[in-house]
Amino acid sequence: MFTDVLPEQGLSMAPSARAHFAGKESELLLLIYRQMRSLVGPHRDLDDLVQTALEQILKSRFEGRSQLSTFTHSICFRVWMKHLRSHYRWRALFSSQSDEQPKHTIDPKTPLAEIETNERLRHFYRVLDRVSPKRRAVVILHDISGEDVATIASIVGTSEATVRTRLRDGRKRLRELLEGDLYYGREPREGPSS
Amino acid sequence: MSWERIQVLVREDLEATAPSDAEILARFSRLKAERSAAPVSSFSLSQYGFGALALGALAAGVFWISSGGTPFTEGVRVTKEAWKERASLAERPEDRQPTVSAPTSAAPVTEPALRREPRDSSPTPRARSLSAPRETKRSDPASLALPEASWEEIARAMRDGHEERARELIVQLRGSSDAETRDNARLADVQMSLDVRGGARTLPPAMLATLKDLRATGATSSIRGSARRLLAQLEAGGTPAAEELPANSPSSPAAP
Repeated sequence: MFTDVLPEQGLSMAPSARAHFAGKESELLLLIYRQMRSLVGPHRDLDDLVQTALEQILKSRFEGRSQLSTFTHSICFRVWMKHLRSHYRWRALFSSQSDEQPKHTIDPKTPLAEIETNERLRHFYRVLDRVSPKRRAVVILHDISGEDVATIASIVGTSEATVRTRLRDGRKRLRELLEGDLYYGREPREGPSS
Repeated sequence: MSWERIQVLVREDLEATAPSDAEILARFSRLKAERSAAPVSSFSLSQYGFGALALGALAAGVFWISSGGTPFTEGVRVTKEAWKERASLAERPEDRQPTVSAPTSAAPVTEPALRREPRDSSPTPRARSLSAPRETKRSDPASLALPEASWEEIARAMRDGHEERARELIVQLRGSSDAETRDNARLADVQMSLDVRGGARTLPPAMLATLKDLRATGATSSIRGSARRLLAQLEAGGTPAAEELPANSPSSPAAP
């Protein structure tokens, strides 16, 4: 209870691996940032989550039995799940309907295009919030981050069969949620800008 | 839209909105510097709470053990004699409330009259120090002018989830001297004020008026076009038509 080190996966770090991290904190940070961002999206707590994950990785042990990216991905996943456990119920109670509604599409040639892209992405992750965290994680890891089932199983700490089940169920739930969605419910129109 | 298409779109959006490596590293360097400057507790508030409870329970346990493991009331027996003794002790003279006798004098008690002090013509030391107006340095208007926000900053704010900050920057751009920037900012403001309730898009009346104005007088054709399209969607109720809904099959081919 009074430790902020996450439970290890039974891995132990070889001294050479520890030396590997030394001096490569920047690369590690960028890797963790991308992985965490794909898991949580453009979230306001993203920086804190990345920082926490980096601290955990530097404290924990890595033997090199799996790829470094798999190891860091698993830490990111656990940090994120821990964050969700603290805030999930609060968000479910206090998230308002209007928070989940998208804005209209705008002309891609205006400077607002980037704002639009940001908003669309944030909308996607808000919809994802309504999928259970375990299914959501598997869908993100597989369909967005491009990880294979075996890797995902080691990241989330479960069997491949369970990963496939969660993937199927997560996709099904997402399809239900995105049906008729103003951003993802139809193909974007490529109208002329007048 | 097929799930395959959505995946592609989300990956593209993640890529398009990701900050640069330099930006990420700079941000975390700043965060690290801030954290090392401020004292940080390794424990969360709930952990402190649990710790306090545990300490309290431990203290109670130690006290209980030291008192011989007996209940608190055991050993304290109030007998009649003890009660009487206690009651007599309470009668100590020094414990009695002092009584104040009523005044016997018939002279009425009056308040001392308020005497008006003659006004001192010379200012008080405090007033003297305030009398001479301080020479204030006139603010240079140029130095007060805030740097104009940029679209990159707005995008960055939205990327980081700081919607309020993005809105502030957009409001700044609304005051721009450049007409196109100003109207783009007004359009962005309208966009961020858009609300969707029950599947229909709605706008506050002031924003609707802005949108109509942009449709008619927007600085560029693309601004006028965007405003026109949005108004059309609002007037149509904003819900997608039935034939536009995606197919039920999960592996429906992506549209070209």
